[in-house]
Amino acid sequence: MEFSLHILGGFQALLDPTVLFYMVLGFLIGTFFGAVPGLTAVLAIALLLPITYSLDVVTALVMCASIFMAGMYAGSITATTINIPGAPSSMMTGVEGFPLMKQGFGANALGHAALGSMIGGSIGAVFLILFTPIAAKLALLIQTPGKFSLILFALVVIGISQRGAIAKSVVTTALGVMIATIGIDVMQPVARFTFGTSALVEGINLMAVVIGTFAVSELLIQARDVVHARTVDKAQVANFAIKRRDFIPLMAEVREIGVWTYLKSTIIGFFIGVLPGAGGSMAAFVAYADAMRRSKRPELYGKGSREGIAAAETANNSMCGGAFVPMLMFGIPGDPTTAVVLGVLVINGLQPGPRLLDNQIDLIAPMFASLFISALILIPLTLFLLGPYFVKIVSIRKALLYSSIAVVALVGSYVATYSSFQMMLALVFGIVAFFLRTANYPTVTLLLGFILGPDLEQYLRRSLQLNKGDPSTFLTSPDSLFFLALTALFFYFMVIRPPKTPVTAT
Amino acid sequence: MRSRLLGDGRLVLPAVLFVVTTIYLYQAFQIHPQYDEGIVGPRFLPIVVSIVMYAGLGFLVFDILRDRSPRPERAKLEFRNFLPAVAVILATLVYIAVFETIGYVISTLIYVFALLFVFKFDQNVLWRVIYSIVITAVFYILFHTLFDVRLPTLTEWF
Repeated sequence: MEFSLHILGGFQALLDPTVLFYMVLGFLIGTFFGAVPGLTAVLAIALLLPITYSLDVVTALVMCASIFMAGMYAGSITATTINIPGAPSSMMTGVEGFPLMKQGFGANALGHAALGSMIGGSIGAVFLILFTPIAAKLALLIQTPGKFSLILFALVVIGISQRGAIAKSVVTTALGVMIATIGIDVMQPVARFTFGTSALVEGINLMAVVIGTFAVSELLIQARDVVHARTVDKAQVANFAIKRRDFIPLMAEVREIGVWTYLKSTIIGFFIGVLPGAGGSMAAFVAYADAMRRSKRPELYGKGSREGIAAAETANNSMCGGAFVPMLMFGIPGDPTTAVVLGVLVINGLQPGPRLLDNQIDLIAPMFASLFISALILIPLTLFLLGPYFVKIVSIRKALLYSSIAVVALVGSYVATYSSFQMMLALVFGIVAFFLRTANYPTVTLLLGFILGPDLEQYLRRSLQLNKGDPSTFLTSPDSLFFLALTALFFYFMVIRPPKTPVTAT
Repeated sequence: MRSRLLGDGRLVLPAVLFVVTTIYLYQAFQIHPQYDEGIVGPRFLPIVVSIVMYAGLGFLVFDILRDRSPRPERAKLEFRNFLPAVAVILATLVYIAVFETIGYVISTLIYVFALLFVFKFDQNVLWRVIYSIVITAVFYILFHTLFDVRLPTLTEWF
C-alpha cells in the first residue's frame, strides 16, 4: 500500500513545472538522438551524465527515463522513411516499414510503430512497477556468495550474448575490470596500478569512461568516416510529405494484428530486458520472429508487414521497463543505457539494491512515472505534432553536430572534478574505444566490466574471508549454486548449442 | 609477408593488449597487502583477470590465424583513412592543454573552428567563424548560466 502511494507520488512529482520541463526536454533530446543515424540514446544519457551534477536527482532520473523511451522509439523514424535504422533495435522495423514507405504507406507504418511503442512502453513500465517489489524481496534473500555468482552470471551472459564476438567480449570485459582495479583496493587501504601518479589513487571516474567510450569514440569514428556533409542526404528527405491523419492506424489493421501480438511482444520484450546484456535489438528480433512464426499472413513479412512492425516496436519499448529491474535491485544493468543510468544513480549517492525501495523510493518513483508517461502520452503526441517534420530534422550538418557533441563531452568531463585531468582521461578512453570499435570489439562489455568489476571482487573476497578461504561456499550456498547453475545453463544454450538463427545484441 | 604475419593488421590490437596485460600483471605482483587475507588479497583479482585476458587473446589470435580468407578491401586499415581521426585527437589534446590556461571562450572557439574544418563543413570561412561563435556561446549559456558550472576564464590570470 505504502509502495503504491509512493508511485502515485511519483506521478504527482511530474506535475512540478521544472520536472515536467526536463521530462519533455529529455523526450525531445531522446527522439533526436534516436532518430539521427550514428547517435543513440546511450550517447544522449552519457552526455547528460555531467549535467546531473547540477540537476536535482529526481529531475535527472526523470530525464534519463524519457530519453531512454524516446530513443528506443525514434529509431523507427529513419528505419521506416529512409531504411537507415536510427538505432540498432529498429532493424526489424526497417525491414517491414521501408517497403510500406515505398508503397506510399510510410505515415501508416510510423503510426503502427508509435502505437506498438506506446503499448509496449507503458505496459512495460507497469510491469516494472509491479515486479520491482518482488525483485526487491528476492534480492534480500541473496547472500554474499550469491551476490558474487549473480555478478559472474551477468558478466558471462553479457559476454556470450555478443554472438560471433565472444572472445572479443571476454577481452573487453577483462579490460573493463582491469581499469576498475586502478586506485585504492576495495577491501584494504592499498593503492593499485597508480604507477606513482597521485591523480590515479582515487581511481578512474565513471564519467571519463562513459564519455570516452560513447561520445569521444563516436566523434573519432565519425571523423574517420566523414564522406557526406550531412547525417542524412538532403535529397533522400526532400520529397517526404505526409499528413497528420495518415499517422493514425486503421482499426481494422489493429484488429488484424491482434491484442495477443501486442501483449506477447510486451512480455517478451520485458523479460529480455531483465536479462543482462540482451538489449532492445534482441527483444525486437525475438518478438518479430515469434510474430512471424504464428502469423496468419507470413507471406507479408519482408514486404511490409504491419504485424512485424507492431511486434518489434512493442518489444523494444517494453524492454525499457525490464532493463531497470536488475539495475535497480541488483546493480546489474540490463543494457548499455541502464548502465549509464546506473552511473547517474551512483553520482547522486543512490546505491542500487532492495533498500532503495525502503529508503529512497520517493526519488525513484518519478522515474517510473516518467517511463509510463513518456510511452503513453509523449510518443503519440510527438508523432502527431512533429511527425511531418521528423525526417527533415535528422538531416543536419555533421560538422555542426559533432563539434557540439565534442564541446558537451569534454566540458562535461571537466565538470566532474573541475580538472582537465578528467578531460584527458575521457580522451584516452575515447581513443581506446575507437580502436576497439574499429576492430569490431564490443565496448558495452568494457563499460559493464568496469561497473561490475569492483562488486565482483568485493563479494568474492568477502565470501572467502567469511568461509576461511574455502571456495566450496559458492557451491554449498543455495543462492550461489542457483546462479552458477543458471550461468552453466545459459552457456550451454548460447555457446555449446546455440540457436540456429543469428541474434545480435546491442 | 609482413601483412600476413600481422593478420592483415588484425593482430596489432591483440598484441598491444598482450603488452598492456603483461605490464598490468607485473604490477599486480608488486602489490603488497596491508594484512594477510589468505589467497584472495588485493592482487588476487588482477591476476585472475590477467589470466582471463590472456585466454581471450589466445582464442582471438587462434581465430585470426585460422581465418585464411582475405579481408575485404574496404576493411583494410590504412593510415590515411585515420588522418581525420588523428586530427581530431590532436585538436582535442591541444584544447585540453590550453582549456584551463586561456579559458573556455577562446579555447572552445578555436577548437570548434578546427573541428568544423576536420568534419568538412561545407561553408566559407566567415560562416565557420560565425558557427564557432554560436556553438561556443550556446554551450557557455548551457553550462554557465543554466547549469551553474564554473568555467575557466582568461581573466582569472589578471
